[in-house]
Amino acid sequence: MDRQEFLSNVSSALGRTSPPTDVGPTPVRYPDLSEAQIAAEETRTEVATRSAELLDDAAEAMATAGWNVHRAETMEDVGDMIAGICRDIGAEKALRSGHEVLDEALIDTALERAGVELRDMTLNDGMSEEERNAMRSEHREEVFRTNVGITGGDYVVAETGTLVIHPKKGVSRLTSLAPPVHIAVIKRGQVLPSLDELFLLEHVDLNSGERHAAMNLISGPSRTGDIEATIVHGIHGPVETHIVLVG
Amino acid sequence: MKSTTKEFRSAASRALTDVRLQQAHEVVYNGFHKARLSAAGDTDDWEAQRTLGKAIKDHTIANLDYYLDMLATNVEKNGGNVYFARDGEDANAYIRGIAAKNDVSTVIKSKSMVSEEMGLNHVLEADGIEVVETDLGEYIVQLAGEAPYHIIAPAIHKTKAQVADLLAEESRSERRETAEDLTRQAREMLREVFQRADLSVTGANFAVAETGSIVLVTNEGNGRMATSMPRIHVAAMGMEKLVPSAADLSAMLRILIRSATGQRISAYVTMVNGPRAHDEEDGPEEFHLVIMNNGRDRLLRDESLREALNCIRCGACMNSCPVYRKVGGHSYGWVYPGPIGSIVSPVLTGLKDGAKLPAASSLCGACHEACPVKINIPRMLLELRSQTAQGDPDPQQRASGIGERMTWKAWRQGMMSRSRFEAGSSVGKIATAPLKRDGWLRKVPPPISGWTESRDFPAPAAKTFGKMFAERNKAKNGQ
Repeated sequence: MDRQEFLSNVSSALGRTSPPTDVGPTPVRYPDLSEAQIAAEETRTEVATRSAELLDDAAEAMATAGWNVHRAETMEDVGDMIAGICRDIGAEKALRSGHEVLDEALIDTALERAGVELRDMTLNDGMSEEERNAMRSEHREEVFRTNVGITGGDYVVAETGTLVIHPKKGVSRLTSLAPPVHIAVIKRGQVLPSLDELFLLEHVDLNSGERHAAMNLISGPSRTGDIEATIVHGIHGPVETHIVLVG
Repeated sequence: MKSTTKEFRSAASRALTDVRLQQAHEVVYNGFHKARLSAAGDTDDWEAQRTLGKAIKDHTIANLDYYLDMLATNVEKNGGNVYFARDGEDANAYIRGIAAKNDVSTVIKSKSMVSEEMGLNHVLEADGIEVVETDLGEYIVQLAGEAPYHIIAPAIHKTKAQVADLLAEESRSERRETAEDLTRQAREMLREVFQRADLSVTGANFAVAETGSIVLVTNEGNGRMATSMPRIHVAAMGMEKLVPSAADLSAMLRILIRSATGQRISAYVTMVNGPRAHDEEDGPEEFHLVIMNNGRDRLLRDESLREALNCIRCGACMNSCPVYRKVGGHSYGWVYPGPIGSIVSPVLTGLKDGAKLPAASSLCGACHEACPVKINIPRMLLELRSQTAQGDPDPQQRASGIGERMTWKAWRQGMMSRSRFEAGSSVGKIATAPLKRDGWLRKVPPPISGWTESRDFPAPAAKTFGKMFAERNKAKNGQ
């Protein structure tokens, strides 16, 4: 049905002829963007100054949410730690995202040493559309064959034990979803206190013209209770999730 | 979905004698209801969170035209398409059109109550399209050819053995036994469908007006699969399910998830802001948002019922309701069961068929107490009872009969005067005396036979209270 007709009917149900031009602030909304930007800056400062404490909080909440939590003192420990997880689960094939933190951790060499075949299927800027689509099809098959998906992330939320990933170039939606095991690496300074800060930052980003096609909040393994209310992991997403917290 | 709300009474009677269903209801109560109570107890300022949630929804619904316009504009700005649908038929036609244009042969669905309202599956199937539900519970009820039993746990009424039979038959493979093995089996079966699906239909737990987004909350990850694999993503929502800004989402997610399952957060929350970027490895190329009215404007127009549009579909009112816990989800006969369903279903499908639902409540107030956005459900149930009695030309509800109205008029007259009340009591006592058995009236004749159809009525006492009081006073004074 026509949009104007639909909206006029809604207006009429609310006892007016057209939508109001100004509705005032919502109960939690920042009335204007500049105010939200100031709050976002304060959040970033808090996240940096309280980073050690927030990382500890995150470790605890993530364990509660069902993550296997690994703490690494320095970036040098991360590669071997991930290789160790792959060895424990008997992984032969792994797929990684383009997140820089994985390069910092030198996981390519660590996994090679461990005898795990690691692939990065990020689309290249120089590719033609045809080549891109060929890579997409291959990625789509590979992601269901691989044993482990390895990613970084944008944030962790300490309140809920949640890893936050914005899908984008180099960060496939399926890498953290389709393989039976997902391993993610997060550095100190990436931990937000609560969902309020996460959605404040998202609110500021999206209203400042930044485009995120999507945002995924991941809190432990996939789970279902649909058969006689028995909780079982791994109905659609990973059976097992690991988080490596660095710093 | 075809409504069978008219048959509430007979369906409820059947459920009451079904041992398996009664056990399932206990699981719902012990699982969700108690988990919600402990989650609320663990949350600092839970009451403040509820107050905030109510304030956000009140504000949004009071300015629904403004925010819907904003939502549509921003979805389009993000590269998505928006369709405003008058009703289910209109929404189905739009989705059929997308499917036809893109030669779609397989559609996967991630739980959507609105698509149940639309009866979308049947419409697409009639066009020769394969439609597969991907929420495990929804998949099970789809294989069984049934409707969802509970909005959070659709297959809670099915036993493990029944699920094993359904999955073995569908996959033509070995029958599995344990919940773990059955889940693995379903995972493989559904992955095969995800691989070949061209289009996904999801619901939307929330839409965000200011950023043109929709939000999907799942524990299984089917919402993520649906927004990662098929080429086209269609999200369908009722026109009330939006919030103004992304900054409002944290408050709403907190109360939704705690109220639904008692978790601090679900395994997955996905915010979708349109189709994928051109350089992403996966994600849908096309995004459509269908915003449906389907009678919701009747709730909006009636200020005494408008609050029902604040509902965020968490299921807490159902899990806390003593009536729902006995009669179960299917008895209510339409998409939304339980206390909130007893308001929404009659108004959306017509008071004529749904007249029994507002009466299926003891008005104990447990739903009002449980509701994360403080919807005063008992008040609205009373309002609907009154509207049902008065009649409503729009959903073709006839006013109550002359006999009933005269009876209540006489009752009122009787109650207004002491002498008439006392005379009435004596007549009642004499008239019911032959029917009295062990102090109870188990069966009375028409026109008041309805009173004893589903419960016994205590017989009038030998002496009225007034008489007893007077006698005692007399004896005391006489000493």
